[in-house]
Amino acid sequence: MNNIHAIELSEAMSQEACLEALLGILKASLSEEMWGELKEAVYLREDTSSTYLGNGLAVPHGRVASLGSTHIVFGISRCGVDWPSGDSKANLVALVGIDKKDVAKYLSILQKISKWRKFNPAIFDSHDFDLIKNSIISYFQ
Amino acid sequence: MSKLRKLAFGALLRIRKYAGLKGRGGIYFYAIIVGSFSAFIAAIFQKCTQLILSLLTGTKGGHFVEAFEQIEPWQRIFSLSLGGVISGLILLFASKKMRKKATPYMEAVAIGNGYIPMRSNLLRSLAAIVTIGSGASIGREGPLVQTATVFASWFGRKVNMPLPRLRLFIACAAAGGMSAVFHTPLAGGLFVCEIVIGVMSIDILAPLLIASCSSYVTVITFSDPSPLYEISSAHLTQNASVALFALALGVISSLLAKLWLSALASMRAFLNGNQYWLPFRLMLTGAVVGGISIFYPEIVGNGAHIIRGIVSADFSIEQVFALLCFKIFAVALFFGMGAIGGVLTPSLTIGNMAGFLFAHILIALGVPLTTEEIIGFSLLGMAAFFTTAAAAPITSLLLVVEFTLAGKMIFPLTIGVLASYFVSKITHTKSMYAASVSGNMLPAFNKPMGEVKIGNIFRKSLDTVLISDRFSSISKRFLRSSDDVIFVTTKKKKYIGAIFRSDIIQFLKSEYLSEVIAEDIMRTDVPTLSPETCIIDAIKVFSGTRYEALPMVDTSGIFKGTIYKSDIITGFSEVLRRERVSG
Repeated sequence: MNNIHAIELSEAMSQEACLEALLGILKASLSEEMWGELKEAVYLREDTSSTYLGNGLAVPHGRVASLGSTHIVFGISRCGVDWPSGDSKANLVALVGIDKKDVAKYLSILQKISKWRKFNPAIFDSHDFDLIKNSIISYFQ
Repeated sequence: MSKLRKLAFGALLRIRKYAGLKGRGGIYFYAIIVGSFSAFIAAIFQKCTQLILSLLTGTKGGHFVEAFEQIEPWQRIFSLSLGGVISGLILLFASKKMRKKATPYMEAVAIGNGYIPMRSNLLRSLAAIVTIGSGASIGREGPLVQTATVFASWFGRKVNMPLPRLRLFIACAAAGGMSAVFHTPLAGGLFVCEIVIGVMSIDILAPLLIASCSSYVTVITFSDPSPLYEISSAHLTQNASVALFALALGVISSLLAKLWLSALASMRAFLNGNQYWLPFRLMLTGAVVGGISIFYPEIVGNGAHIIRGIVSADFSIEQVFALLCFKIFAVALFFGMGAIGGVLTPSLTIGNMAGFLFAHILIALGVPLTTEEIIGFSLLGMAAFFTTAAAAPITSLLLVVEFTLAGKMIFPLTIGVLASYFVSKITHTKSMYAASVSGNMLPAFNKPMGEVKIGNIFRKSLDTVLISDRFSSISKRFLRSSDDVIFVTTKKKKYIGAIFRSDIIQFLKSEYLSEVIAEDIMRTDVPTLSPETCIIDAIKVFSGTRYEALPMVDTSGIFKGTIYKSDIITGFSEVLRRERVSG
């Protein structure tokens, strides 16, 4: 999978600011129309129910028709992003943009992220962005 | 306990994987197992009815008529009335408290999704055990086979059998049950193939026969191996006059069967009303039949005693005539009032009596007949009557030959059966199983092709999920059923999308996806069909997609049910075949 990116999120970021930062990374690789659709789908999904999975992991995502390739942007936060409240702080936010028809692929990605988190329980204690970034990107490649 | 169950299922799944049971040959293995299992269910069912009989009559069980002959007149009324009240209360409880309604196995095999709810059906079986055990004039084969298929449906879904295999597996359980009841390994399989499935193909018939033979082997290993009514004395000379008499009896039996079916339908329509009155209605029926049994104890039970009496020349013509009238009345009353039981043996009994009376009419007209020939005609009447009642000539023929061992009468039997079948066709007689095997589709198939709408042949599957329902509950539903698709709606049943088994099958047991919701995995590009869509247009829609099932949605977007491609094709070919035959 080539469309994988990772960024370090600044301190004390809100959920909305985090989503904007992650979506911003994808602006260059998508058409304006497609990017707009993805953004709308991500916010709509978050409105339906929170995408916080527990263990400091949130996976906001948007399923867009005719998106074609799959895009993942990992946002790594040292102090955690309120997702959406302080009770559920996300240290790793994985934004997934995926074609609507790729249901199995979406589930596979989600399962992979959850497995990575489960097998690396103490990785966020290191506060080492590069270590976390390399670990998760290599896990996906 | 649950750990043990998990281990057992794990072992079973491993056996299935390594023995190649998922392949085409696997069904033969399952057929052997389920056939044998059905025989045990039959034995348990019989023991339970005998226990009820002992409890209600204070006798040692055994045959119903013998037990009733031993007890006082008031006890006969008491036994049947009490049995009626208890079974009525059980049925009332099942209908009010069970969320999932009982599904007849014939419907599950012929047109359904193979799902036969466990609790509601077992409660109905319990009600049937009480009714039959109290001496009601109905057969035990229906509820017994239903009980065996409930477990088959449960097991088939547990091991994730695909839908066509699940249906065939349930059909195998039914064949095993029939074989165990009548000691008829050949007719047991044919009954299900001809009546329930309606297709005579070796791919279908072979597993059914394996199941019925496996059941028969189990029966003869653990109980009496003799035929149900061995009548070696029956005889009909093979000459032109007997052929003519057989033809006449076939016609008369068919017309009688038509009247009998009309009586059953009318009684059901007039008597089977408010459910709350069910215990009272069944008690009243029990009291009436109990009253008759004071004078004619032979009318209790399924009628096997009458058949044995006739073939042993125990009854006079007056007795048989009276028994025929009372038997028809009693059976129709029980079914009309809503009792659960089988109608096969009572039908055979009525046909048997009709054949006996026909033989005596011939004697009155000056035709000399021996006792063996009278018995022969009574068997012919039985086969011909059942042919029209069940719309199953081959099963009728083999059933009678197999459980009487009257193979040397095959020629006149064939003539009688064919005559009956011919008359049933020209009189447009619907068999007693027609409603169960065709569901709501039959009326649709009788229309011209252009008028058959999707609204006539959809399935009312209103078991939907909401957009925010969790993956865990959705995967549970897929694991429990064989459905290929679950539809997503709003709380007000407005259609939103569809979740396909094929999309999520590899993740059904994943522990990492509990937070996923229906919205994340549903498809919204699935074409919808309206109730007014013509069957031909529906075929075009299906041919443009890869889906096996599509949602039916009305003009205001409300989800109404599921349209299966297989139903569309069945409907299309059925209408085409009818139009081709009728010109």
